[in-house]
Amino acid sequence: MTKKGVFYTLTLSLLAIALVSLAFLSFTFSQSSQSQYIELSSAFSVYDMHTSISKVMSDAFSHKNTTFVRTTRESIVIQESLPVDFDALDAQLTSLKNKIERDFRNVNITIGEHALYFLPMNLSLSHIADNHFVLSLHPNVTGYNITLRYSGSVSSCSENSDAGSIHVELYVIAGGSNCTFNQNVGEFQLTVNGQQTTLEIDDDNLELQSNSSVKTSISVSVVPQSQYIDVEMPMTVSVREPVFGFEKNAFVQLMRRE
Amino acid sequence: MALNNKGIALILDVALGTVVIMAGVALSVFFISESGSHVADYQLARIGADILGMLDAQQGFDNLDHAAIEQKIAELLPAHLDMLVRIEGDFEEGDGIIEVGGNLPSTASIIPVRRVALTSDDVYLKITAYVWLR
Repeated sequence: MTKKGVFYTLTLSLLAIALVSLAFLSFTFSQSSQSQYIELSSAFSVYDMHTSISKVMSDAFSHKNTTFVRTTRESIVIQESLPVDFDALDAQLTSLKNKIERDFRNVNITIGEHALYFLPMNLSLSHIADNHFVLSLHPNVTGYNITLRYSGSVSSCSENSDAGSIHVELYVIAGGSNCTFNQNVGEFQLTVNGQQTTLEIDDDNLELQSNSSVKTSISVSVVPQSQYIDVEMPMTVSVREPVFGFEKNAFVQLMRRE
Repeated sequence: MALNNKGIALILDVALGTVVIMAGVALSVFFISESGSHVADYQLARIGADILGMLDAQQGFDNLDHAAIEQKIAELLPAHLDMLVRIEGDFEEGDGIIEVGGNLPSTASIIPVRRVALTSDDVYLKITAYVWLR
């Protein structure tokens, strides 16, 4: 063979090697991207399922209307009628839990107590009983605007307070005499006579207990936050993906009403 | 004119080289297109999930109205795609199963998207969507 032939053969061989290398690289890329997209799809399916289950639970909570919550960057409004009837809500949440866990074996739902968490301050509203709740205090809380509305009459209100930095604006509205209170307090106690209602505010909590039916509205003013205040229910939704082991385990977030 | 040994070697060399080049190109094209199909599958699944999410957010499943759901899907779905939505639940229409959208193609493998929803009447729905290229 001449030098020209050798050069020709070598060139073709190099080109062939380059192409085989290209094919190998493409193969490796293909395998790698396939595995990445399968992983991404699995992670997305976990996220999407968790989001939709959270929305279902949040919708169920909204439909039963036991507690109405509205938040902005600087306030939380909580409205409830005491005593709160949680039976319909509990039945609905349990039914949904059973149906979802039946339809999706990789989902586990744990229903917690009757409470709400407000993030990022981690403020909580806990129900000790259906006529008794506690709202935890936080350094970011600057004041309360409270309305207690009765269908019956109120004979009088007894209050006991000392001066402090929390602004309390209180309205007791009833068929008989109404009561109002508006000042900065450290500790505050109120008894609504004739309705067996007590309200206490101290360094730790706001606590309200009523043995009579009362419509409550509490607007909590907070230091303006850099983000909207989110509300979560202590109900854990866990979605697992068995192949890659992805899992999302988080509380149910109530949809914002802005 | 008779071929000499040098000519035969050259022809064989060219033939072999051409085969190797074609094989390399074919393999490259095959693997690159394969990797592209996984991207497409993932994107189709995302589109399906987004459309279900939007339908749910707009209370599109509340009345379980076949025509209304179909119209919403037609509004939201890109023209080059087709979609089938299967809704299962404790409702009377279709003995608890409604299917809205195109007919599933028998040849393509389709990643299903699954979600749950709650209507305003508190009816629990299990929804499965399939999206594919037309």
